[in-house]
Amino acid sequence: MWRASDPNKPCAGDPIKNASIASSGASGPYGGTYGCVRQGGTNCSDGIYNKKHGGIDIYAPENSDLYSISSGKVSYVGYITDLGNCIQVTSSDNSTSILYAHLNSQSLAVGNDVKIGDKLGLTGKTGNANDPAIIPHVHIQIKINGVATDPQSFLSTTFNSDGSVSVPCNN
Amino acid sequence: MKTTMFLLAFMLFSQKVICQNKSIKIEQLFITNKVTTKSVKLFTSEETLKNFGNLLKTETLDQTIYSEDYAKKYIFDDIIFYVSTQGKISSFETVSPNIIIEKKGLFSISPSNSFSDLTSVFPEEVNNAVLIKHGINNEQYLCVKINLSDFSKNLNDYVDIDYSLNLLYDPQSKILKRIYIWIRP
Repeated sequence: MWRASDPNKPCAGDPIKNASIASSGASGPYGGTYGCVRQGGTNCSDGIYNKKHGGIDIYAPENSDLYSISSGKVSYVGYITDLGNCIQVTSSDNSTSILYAHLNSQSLAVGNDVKIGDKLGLTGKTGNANDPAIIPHVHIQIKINGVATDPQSFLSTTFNSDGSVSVPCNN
Repeated sequence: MKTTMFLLAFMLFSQKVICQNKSIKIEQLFITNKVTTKSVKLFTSEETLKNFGNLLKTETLDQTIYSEDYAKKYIFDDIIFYVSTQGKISSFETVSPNIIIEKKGLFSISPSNSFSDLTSVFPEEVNNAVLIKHGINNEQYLCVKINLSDFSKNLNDYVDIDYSLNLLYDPQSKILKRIYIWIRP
């Protein structure tokens, strides 16, 4: 059961307590935000940031508790080469899918009901986040009707365009 | 006093030069199949994969889960390539001694090579090797990471990119087991 006053949990709508963007290599915190923000890729033509990052990277020391930022049902649990261990929650109308990646473990199974603030698993560095230089984080990607969307509007903590925290959420 | 300051400055400069990690320009990195002698480069068209080797199958990846860098997977018997939604080779992974990763004139490396083969070319990178866990079974490897750079039209210069060439060695035998470059999601 979600309790907003639980000091061990993040704000409702944040996946991790004291959410912040994880730096990404040469691109820094900017590279942890969504969009054409990374150096080295093929799918953007935006100056040196020619790699699209399809989600947002929230800093999470390994084995941090991960909480759902939405309600729905678990639609995928598994291991994918680049994403590592991941879990996906899909809304009841099937329009919105939120995937959490690079986990050490998942706590729920496909078909389980999920409410905002339910524990989904433990964060990690699986998949291609295993590189020693990569800051531990949970990669969150959101698709609305199949179209990739910036996850920032789903989070309670807000961020500036450079990846720094704009308004923290600490309730 | 002046001599001391000069010596200090010289020592700092020398250390910086000696300890600097190398960065390989991405277009100078060739992935070659020893059997067919065919070479490809990252960020080039998937068309270049034709006749690269014995193609076992191609897979179209589920775009509801995968990022745009991974639209298709080419599975050869010696290497797996990932191709982006734009049809460019974006990543690869191999465990085969038949595959050579090289920058001509600087280094040439394949799975089954020894750790010591790398030390003369990449002393700093070898010195910074760390243990990592990799793959679905969380196997442990000693990882040497080689920085990569790409040309920026904006800056008219090469800039380090966020992804590296990863060389995974068996921690005990120090034999190279696996090589990959993965463009992260």
